[in-house]
Amino acid sequence: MELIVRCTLIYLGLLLIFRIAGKRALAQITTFDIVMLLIIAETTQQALVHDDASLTNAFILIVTFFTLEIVFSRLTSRWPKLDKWLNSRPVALMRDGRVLDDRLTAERVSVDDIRRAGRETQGVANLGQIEHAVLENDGAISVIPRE
Amino acid sequence: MAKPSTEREASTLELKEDREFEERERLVRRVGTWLLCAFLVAALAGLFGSGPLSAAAARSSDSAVEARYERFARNRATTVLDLSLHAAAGRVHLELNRAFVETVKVEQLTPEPAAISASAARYVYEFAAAGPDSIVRVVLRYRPETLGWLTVVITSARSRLRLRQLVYP
Repeated sequence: MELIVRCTLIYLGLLLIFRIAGKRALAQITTFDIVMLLIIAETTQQALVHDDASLTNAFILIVTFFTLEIVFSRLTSRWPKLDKWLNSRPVALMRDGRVLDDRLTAERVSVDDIRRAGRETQGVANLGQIEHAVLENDGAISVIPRE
Repeated sequence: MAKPSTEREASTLELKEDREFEERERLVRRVGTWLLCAFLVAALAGLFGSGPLSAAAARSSDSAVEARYERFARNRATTVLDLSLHAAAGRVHLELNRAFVETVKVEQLTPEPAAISASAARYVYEFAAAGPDSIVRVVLRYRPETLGWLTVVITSARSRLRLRQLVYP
């Protein structure tokens, strides 16, 4: 019982912290981000498992996480408002070749991040070749080049 | 001029945008960031244990029992109860309520008690003192295995001290 409550609290706590941190929190996957992810995973694992490394404990934890995932995906598909709050919405960073500065500031994204996404995903050499750029829910930047 | 819809399709980009929601989301995130900062400040101050807000001391009315402890402890994390007991003779007895001893995992009791006995309501530890009218310092390291308020009743001779500790999950 305590294990399931602990697991649920960690799930909700992480969900809250990641939503506050914003889409770009760990989305860039730099070497440091990987280290951060490992530290967060290790810290969480210790709080979950503590001194019970039994197979039963592991399965209870895994089943709890999967159940929470299923429950939340059902809830978000049923209530679009909840989906907005839990998963956010994609945000346009550039539209019709124009950089939307207020969005960049709000989402802590720089023009260089858009340039980089353009180079990496579309082979675009400069900002002038970008028609639209969107910050997706998962923190990735999608770039649509000019035709 | 028609008022623009808050949820609209961008001209050539199939992207449902909701400016009103975005504004609210930003506000919530800003408040959330401040709350996270406040959480960190509270943690530094010791609201969740190990800090100035957590460090506490108490003594019995006759000053025969003095205790230094943490107001805030964490479930399954080690915390210390540091006691100074006044020994009237060559021995001193320390009594701890059974409910406390049985809801914590005692890791270490220093010095080693000369004798331990138990009754229905309490555990009694006997320590050797340097001599009459001396102070015996007893350090108890333990891990709470419960949540919420933990009550410690410390009795030595006729002195009694009652402490409360909040145990976080």
